[in-house]
Order: sequence, then C-alpha cells, then structure tokens
Amino acid sequence: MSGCEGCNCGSRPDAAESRPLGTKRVTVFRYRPCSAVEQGSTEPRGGEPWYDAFEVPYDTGTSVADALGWIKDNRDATLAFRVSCRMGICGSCGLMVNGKPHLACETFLRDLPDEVTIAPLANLDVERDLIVDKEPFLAALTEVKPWLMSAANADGFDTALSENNRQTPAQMLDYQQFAQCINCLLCYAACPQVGFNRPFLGPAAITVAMRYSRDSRDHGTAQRLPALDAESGVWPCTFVGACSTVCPKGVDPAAAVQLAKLVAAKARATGLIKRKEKR
Amino acid sequence: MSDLDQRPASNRRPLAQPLPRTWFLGTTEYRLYALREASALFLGIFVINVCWAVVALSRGLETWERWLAFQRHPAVVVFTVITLAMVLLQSVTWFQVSPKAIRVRLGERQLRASWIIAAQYAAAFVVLALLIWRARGGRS
Amino acid sequence: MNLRENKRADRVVSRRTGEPWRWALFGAGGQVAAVVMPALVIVFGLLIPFAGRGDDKLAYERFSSLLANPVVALLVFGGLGVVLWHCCHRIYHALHDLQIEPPKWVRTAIYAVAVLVPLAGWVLTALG
Repeated sequence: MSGCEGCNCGSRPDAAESRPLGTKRVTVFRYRPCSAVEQGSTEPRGGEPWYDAFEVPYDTGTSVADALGWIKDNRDATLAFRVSCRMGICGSCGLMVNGKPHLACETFLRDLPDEVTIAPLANLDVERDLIVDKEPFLAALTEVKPWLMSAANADGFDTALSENNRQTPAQMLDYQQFAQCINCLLCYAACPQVGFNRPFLGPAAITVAMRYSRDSRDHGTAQRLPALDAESGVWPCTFVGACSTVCPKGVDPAAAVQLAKLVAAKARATGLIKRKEKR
Repeated sequence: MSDLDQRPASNRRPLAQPLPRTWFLGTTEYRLYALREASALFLGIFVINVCWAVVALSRGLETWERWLAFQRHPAVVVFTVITLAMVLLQSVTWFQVSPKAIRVRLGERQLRASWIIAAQYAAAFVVLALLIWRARGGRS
Repeated sequence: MNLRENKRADRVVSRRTGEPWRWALFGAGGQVAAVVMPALVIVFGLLIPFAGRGDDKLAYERFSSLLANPVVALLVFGGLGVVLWHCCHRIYHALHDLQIEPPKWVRTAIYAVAVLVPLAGWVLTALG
C-alpha cells in the first residue's frame, strides 16, 4: 500500500520494507458444536475437537491474527476466531500460541518457531474453534459491581461532578495500574485455579474490583465484599503469579488479588470488633 | 418436566477444557510454584524438629546432646541440606512478591519495590547474625 | 435462558468461610518464616551440630538460659507456631492443586498439627 505516509489509515509503517520471509506451519484447534448432533437438539455435547495444519506465508509484519485471517481468506472460510482492533486494546484476540496465552494481534510469526500451534484460551469453555465463552467472566465482572459508587447512593452511578470527586495524582496512583485491564482473559488461561473449574471470580474480575475500591472517589467496597470475601471470591487464589506474567498490559492482577485478600481480611477483623462493641 | 425440556433449543455446545492432573509440570513457572508449595513440607518438619530442640534445651544438657546426635545422623543431614535449599527458595520468592501486598505511598510516589525487598533481606541477615552471635556465647 | 445461564447459577456460591483468618495467619507465618527460617536452619540444623564439643555446651548454656524466661519461651513457640501454620496452610491448599478434595476432618487434622505441636512444646518446656 502506498500513499500512506504520515497518516493514520492503519497501514503498517514498515509496509514498504516488509518482504516475504517464507512460510510457517500453523496448526489450529478446531471444534464444531453441531458436527455430531442435529441442530436444535438438547444433547449437551458437540463433536470431537481436531487440529488442522496450514502452511502460512509470512513477512516481518505478519501477526498471528493476520495468519488466521489469511487462513480464513485463502484456505478455510469456516475457521472461527475473534479479532477486532488489531492494536492490543480491545482484548478480543486472546488465544494460546504454542501453549501460552497471547494476544494474536501482537504476537508475530517471525518471532515464533517454524511449527506454531494455535488453540483457544485454556481453562475456558470453547464455543467453536478458537472462540471461548466469556459469559462466566462477564457474570463475575457484574458481581463485583465495577463502577464508582457515591457515599449517598451506594448502588448506582455517581455521575455528579462535585468537589468530592476531585482527585490528586497521588490518589490516582493507587488504582491506575489496575485500570489498564482490557478483559482479554489471558490471566484466566494462565490461572490453574480457574482451570480447576471451581467457582472463582478470577484474576481480572478481582482486579477490576480493586480498581474501583482503591479509587478515592468510590465508596462501594462494602457492596463488593460479599462477592470478594466468599468461598468463590478471592480465596481460591494460591498466588501462582502466572496471571501477572502473561498480562499484556502490565496490570499485575496477582498484586490486586493479594490486596483484595487484605481488604477482605481487614473488613472481617473490623466487623468482629464492631460486633463486640455493640454488645 | 426435566431441566432439559424447559431449555429452549440452542446450538451452543460449549466444550470444557479440564486441566490435566499434572498441570504443575507444564511450564517453568508452574514447576517453580509447585516446588515453592512443596517446600512447606520440609519447612514444617524442620519447625517440629526445632520445637523438639527447644524442649531438649529445657530438659538439660544430656537431652540436648541426644538431639544434637540425631542432627548428625547422615539421613538427617541430607534432610537439613534439602530443607536449607527449600527454605531459601521460600524466602527469596516471598521477598520477591511481598511488594505486591505491601504498598507504601510516599507523597506522590510508591515506595520502590526494591527497597521493600532489600529491607527484608537485611532483616534476615540480622537474624542470622544475632543467632550466630548468641550460639557463639554472646550475651544479651 | 440458555445453557450458560444454568452454569452461571452454579457459580454463585457466596458462602462466607473461615479463610480470611486462616489466610491472615498464613501470611504472618510466611513473613516470619522468610526472615527467620534460613538463619534457624543454618544455625540449628548445621552450625551447632557440627561446631565441635566445646561449642555445643556454650550454645546449650546460651540458649537454655534465654529460654528459662517464660515470656521468651512463649514468643519462641508462638513464632514457630505461625510458621508451622503457614506450612500446614500451604500443604492443605496443595491438595487442591493436586485435584484432591479431602473431607473436612483432613483439613482439621492438618491445621491441628500447627496448633498442637507448639502448644505441647510450650507445655513441656514450662514443665521442664
């Protein structure tokens, strides 16, 4: 593509230099929910998953997302995967590349070995090919009430811009890192405690809870505690730390979860003291 | 009517991806985690051993000598050396991740993680120095 | 309503547990262990047993005089107790990681070790 110098039309800056580097063998996980059962049946199982291999040409700028697009355009139009922004901010394209969670848009074929295996994010249910079910996560996210709650109206939005909502840079520092989460769920794929399939809020949902609870404008910690301080809340975490290793945004969910444990434990302790005082 | 009958027809058949039992051997990070958790077993047995040592100390020199003789048994020495490695792993990993839970804000800045880690290493060395000093006859 | 919502209904287990205080003790024990245990293993596990006869006696005198103070003895067993609690907590959670779901009494037994051993030690020291 030419004529794109100095504009933001999306063409890669190195497009002029990018040259074919050869092909790589990309093996892709496949799953059809309906291949073994009639459409509309209530049979809970679909067909058996399988793998398809493709020789994919690549150049210096070919990402895994581009490779999947090339396969869909040129080899198998039925391949299902999620891609949106192609710039690591929408959180749609998380998948396993050679067994490790990655964003497909910022993982490049040039950096990978000649054999590349692509699979859906681990620990999550697969809907079709590389598409995982995000609904349990979205439910967990709702459960932690991810919005600023005012002191007066503790269960709704506080949209009024008042003096109370002014914040110093120091106060912003308390939660800013946790606000960078893009809900890509790489941390869920890295977390064995999610994989055990016990009820667990999971790293990202707890991080979002902390993003709000550590915000000086928020008064909703008490509303979030029932979700956090529960068997299925923060406690299944054993601090493996893999969530923070794979996070593409440097959010450090493991830190947020430990802080959430502290919040929950402190609330329990102060609750105990208050109950004693009442007696 | 069963639940199945009440459910509207859906083409969704979500496929579960259960973790294999040996998941903790999967990556270097998981293996290190497994080793860290396993260190608790060695550490725990050593703590029980120290409890015995303290009781022996209160029971007179003879009991203490018997405890020492047990510590010199080759099998116990092997155990102690493994425990030392495990305990160092536990300490190093603990110090490494502790800044995640300990957040100290100094005005507009967070206290650097490296300072929190360094302070804990310093404390560990002070404890070691104190114990050696006491064992070598220092007065308190 | 679809299949997923059914599964979601299973997920909502907002039962409160005793985990907060178990975790708090675990954290305290981990901090004590990380700072104190390397020194304890080096000094009590290796240095004193292999220091030679004369030093044995010296160490005995120094430490037994220290432990004669009941407050010191209480502190020592308290410290060893939280470290042992830390270990027992990790061992119990390791069972989950091995995908073993033990019955309740196993948990009680594991945590009981962390309470009973230092308690017995303290009683024996106080009696001795």
